[in-house]
Amino acid sequence: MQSGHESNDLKRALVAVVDDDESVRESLPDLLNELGFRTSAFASAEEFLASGSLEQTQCLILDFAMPGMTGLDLQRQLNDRDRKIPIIFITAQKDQEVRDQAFEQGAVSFLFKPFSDTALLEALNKAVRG
Amino acid sequence: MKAPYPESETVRARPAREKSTQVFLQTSSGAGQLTNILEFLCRAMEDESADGVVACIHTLNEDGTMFRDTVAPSLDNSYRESTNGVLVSSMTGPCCHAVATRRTAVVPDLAADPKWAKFREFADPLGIRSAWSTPIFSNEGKVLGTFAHYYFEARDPSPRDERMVQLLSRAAAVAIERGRAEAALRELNETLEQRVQDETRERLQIWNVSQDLLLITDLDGKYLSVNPAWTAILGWSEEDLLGESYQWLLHPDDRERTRTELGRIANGQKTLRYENRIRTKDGTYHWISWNAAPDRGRIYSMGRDITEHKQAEDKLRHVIDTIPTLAWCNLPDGTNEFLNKNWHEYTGLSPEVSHGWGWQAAFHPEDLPPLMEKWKGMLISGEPGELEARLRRDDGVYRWFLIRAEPFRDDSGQIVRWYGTSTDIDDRKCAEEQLQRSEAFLAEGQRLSLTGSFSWKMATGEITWSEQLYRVYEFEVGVRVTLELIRTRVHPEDLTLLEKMIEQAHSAINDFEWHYRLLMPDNSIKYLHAVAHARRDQDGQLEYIATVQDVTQRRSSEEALAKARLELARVSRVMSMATLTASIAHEVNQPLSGIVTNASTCLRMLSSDPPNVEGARETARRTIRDGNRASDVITRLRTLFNKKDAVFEALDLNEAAREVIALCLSEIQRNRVVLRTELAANLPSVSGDRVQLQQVILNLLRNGAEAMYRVDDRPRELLVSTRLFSSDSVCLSVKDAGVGFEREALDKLFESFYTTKADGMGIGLSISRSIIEGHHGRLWAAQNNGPGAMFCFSIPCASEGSMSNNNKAPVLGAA
Repeated sequence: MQSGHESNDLKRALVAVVDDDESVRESLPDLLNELGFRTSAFASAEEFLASGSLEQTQCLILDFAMPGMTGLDLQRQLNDRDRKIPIIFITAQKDQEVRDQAFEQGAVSFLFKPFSDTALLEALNKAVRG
Repeated sequence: MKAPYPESETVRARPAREKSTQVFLQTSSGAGQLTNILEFLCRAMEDESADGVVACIHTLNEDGTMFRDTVAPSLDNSYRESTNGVLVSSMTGPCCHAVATRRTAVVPDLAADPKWAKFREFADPLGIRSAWSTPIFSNEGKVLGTFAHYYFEARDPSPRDERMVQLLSRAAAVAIERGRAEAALRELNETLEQRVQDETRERLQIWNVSQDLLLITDLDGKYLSVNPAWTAILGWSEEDLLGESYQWLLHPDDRERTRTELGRIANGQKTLRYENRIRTKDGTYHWISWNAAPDRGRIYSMGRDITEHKQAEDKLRHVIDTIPTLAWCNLPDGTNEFLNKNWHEYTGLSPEVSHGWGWQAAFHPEDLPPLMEKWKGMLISGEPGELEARLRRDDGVYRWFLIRAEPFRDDSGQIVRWYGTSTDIDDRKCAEEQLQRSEAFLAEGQRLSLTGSFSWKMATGEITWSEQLYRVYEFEVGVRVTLELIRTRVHPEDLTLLEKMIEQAHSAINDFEWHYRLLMPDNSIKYLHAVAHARRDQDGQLEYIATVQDVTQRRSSEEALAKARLELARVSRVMSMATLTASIAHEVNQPLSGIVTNASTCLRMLSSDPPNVEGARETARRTIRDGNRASDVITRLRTLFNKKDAVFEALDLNEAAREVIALCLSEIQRNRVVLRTELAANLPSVSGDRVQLQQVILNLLRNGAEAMYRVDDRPRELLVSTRLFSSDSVCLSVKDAGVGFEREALDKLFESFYTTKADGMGIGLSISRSIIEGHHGRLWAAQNNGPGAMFCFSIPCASEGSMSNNNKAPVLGAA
C-alpha cells in the first residue's frame, strides 16, 4: 500500500516508512509532513523493495519486528545491494541485542516506541543532514 | 603286839617300804614263820646250853641303823618292847657294839664296867649279869642283826655255847635273809596288783563315759563286749547283743561291703576304716564310721555316729549333683577328688576313669596343653582363676566351657582343696562369634557408608557411639560421650536446633530426624543427617537408637546441583518474563506509539499558522481510536490468562496444609528451618479448589522459609497455624522469623514483580492474592512484634448450598 504525500518543496527529502502496524503508517507520515519531509509508507519490507522508490528514498524509518522479512533482514539486503540508505529503526520491544546488531549493520538511530517528535527530528537530522 | 593295819583294798594308802616290811613280818604268815624260826633258834640255844643261858635275836632295819624286832622267847615282853627302836649309834648295850664293830661283844660282868649302866637299867630287873652279842652276817657280809645270850651270873661263855652261837647265828642269817626276800616280793606283788586295779578302773571309766561306740568281737564278728554308748546312741544294752553276730544289726545293703572290709584282717591288715549303717533298737538306721584293729583273736572297734553329717553331706551332694553345671573338687596337687553327677553324665567318663589326672581325657587335645599350663600356674600361685576350654560330650561332640576354680584354705592358710565349676558357654561362644562377625560387617558398612550410629538412654543420659561416629566427630574412639562433648562440635548456629531436638526427644516418644552441621577444629564444616528411632529398652526405659550419616559430600554435590537448578530457574524465569514483557510491551506499545505520534502531529497542526484544525481533529480522532485499541490489548491479555477453571469443593484446610507440609518438609529442614504447626481442632470445612489453595500455602511456606535463609543469629522458626477467623470463615497464617519488610513496602508486596529478595520473584504473592480473592477471601501481610513477617489468608467456610455447584472463579495462571 502506498500513500505518498508530495511536498511543494522538491528539494525536500523523501522519507520512507516501513511498518506492519497501520496506526504507525497512518500517524507517522502526517508528523513527517508537519516536520517538512516528503514521505511514502509501506506495510512490509517486500512491498518497499518492490515499489521502485528505492532510488529516491533518502531515509528509511523501519520497524524492527515484522511478519516475513524483518527490519534487520531488509537492512542486510540493502547493504548487500550496496544501496546505502540511512536507516532509523523503530521498535516496541526493548531488545538491546538487536539494537547492537542494527548499529553494527550501519543503522543511524534506534527509537523505542513510543517516541517523542523531538527524538524523531533529531534522528532525521542525523540521517539526512549529518 | 601292835594292832595290824586294816585290810581294806580301796582305802589303804601305799605304805612306805620300811613300814611295809614291818607289816609283812607282823601280819603275814611269812612274817610269823620267820619269828617262829628265830624263836626256835633261841630255844635251841637255851635247850642245848647246860649253863642256864637266855638267848634272843635282834634284827636291824634295812640300812642297819636301828633295831626293829626282837625275838626273846624266854624273856619278859618288856624286854622286847624296850629294845625295839634302839639306835645302833646309842651304843647302849653289847648288841650295839657288836653291830658297830662287826665283832662279838663279850661282857663277863655288866657291873664291872660303868659304860653298861644304861643297859643294866633293864638287865638288872631281869637278873642278867653277863652278856654276849654276836653279829648276824648276810651272804654279802651285811649285818642283819645280832644273836645275844645272857647269863644270870658273871662268867665267860663256855666253849660249847660259843660253838652253838656260831651255828645258830648262821641259821638266823639264812632265815632273816629269806624273810626279807619274801617281804620284798610280797610288796612288789601288792604294788603290781594295785596298779592293775587302778589302771583297770581308769580304762573302765573311759569305756563307760565314751560317746563313741566301743565294741569287742571275735574274728567271726560275734559280740563280746559293748560299752554303754550303745544304749545311749542305738538303744541296745549289752545283754541284747552278747553272743549275737555283728551282721545282725547291719543294713542289708552294707553287709557285703562290711564283710569285705573285715576280710582284710585275714590278709594281715592292721587297722580298718569303714562306714556302715547300724540298726537301732527302734528299727531306724544310724550311719557309723568305724575304726577297727584286730588283736589276738579279737577285733576292737570304735564307731562314731555320723548320721547327721551324712545327711548334711547327702543334701549337699544332692545339691551338687542337681545344680545345672559341672562341679568338681581337686586336691592341692591338682588331681581330682570329686566330680559331680552332671560331669560324669556329660562326659560319659566313670569316676574310676576321671580319678586323679584321668579327667584330662575329657578335654580337647588342642586345649589341654594351655589348660594344664594355666592350671599348674594357679596351683603354684594359689590364686583363683578361670579359663575356657572344650569338653568332650559322651557323644564325641566338643563344647566350650568356662571353668572357674577357687582355692579353699584351712585355718593356717594352707590350701586343702580346689573347688570349681565348668559352665557350658558353647551357645554363648557361638553367638559371640556371630556377633563379632556381624559387628565387623556393621563397622565396615558404617565406614563405607559414612554412617555412624548411637544409642541414647534418656533415663541415665548414657550415650553410646559406634566407632564410625567417633570418626565422623573426630573424637578418639572410646572417649566418654556426653551432650557437653557433642555441643563442642556442633556448629554454633545449629546449637539452638540441637537444644530443641534434645527437648523434643525428652518430651515425646517419637521417631525423629534432623539435619545439622559440625564445625571441626580445622574450621571445616560437616553436614550430618540423623534419624532416630524411639524404643523401650529391657527395663522399659526410653531409649533412642539412631543413625547419623555424614552427608557433607552428598550435600556439596546437592548444593552444587541446587545452585545450578536455581540458576537455571532464574534464567528461565527471566526468559519467560522477558518474553511476556516483550509480548505485553509490543501489544501495548504499538497503539501507544500511534497515540503519541498522533498527539504530536495534532499539537503541531494546531500550533501552525494558520492552524490546521481539520488535520488536528483527524489526528485527535485517531488518538482516541488508538487509545481504545490499547485498552482492547489489555483486555485480550487478561482473557488470555483467564482460561483456567477452578473446581470448588468442601475441604479440610488442616489436611490440605499437612499435605503441603509433608511435601516440602525435607526441603525446609535441609535449610535448617524448624517447622512447627498449631492446627486448630474441629475446624469447619472451607469451600475451595484444593490445588489452588495448596499452591497458596506452598507459596507462603516457601516465601517464609526463604526469608530466613540469611538468618543465622536466631532460630529459623516457621509457624503454621489455623484458626476460626469469624463465624463463617477460617484463617491460615504462616509466621516466619526472617528479614521482614518495611512498612512503606506493605502496599507494594502484592504487586507483580515486587520482591524484597534479591533472587526472588514477587509474582507469587500477587497470584496468591488473586487465588484467594477468587475464593471470596482475603490475603494480607503483617509485621511481627519480633523479627519476621506473617502472611495470612481467610476464606469462607463451606455452606450446604454452595457446594452443589461447581463455582467457577477466574484465576491468574500458575506461579
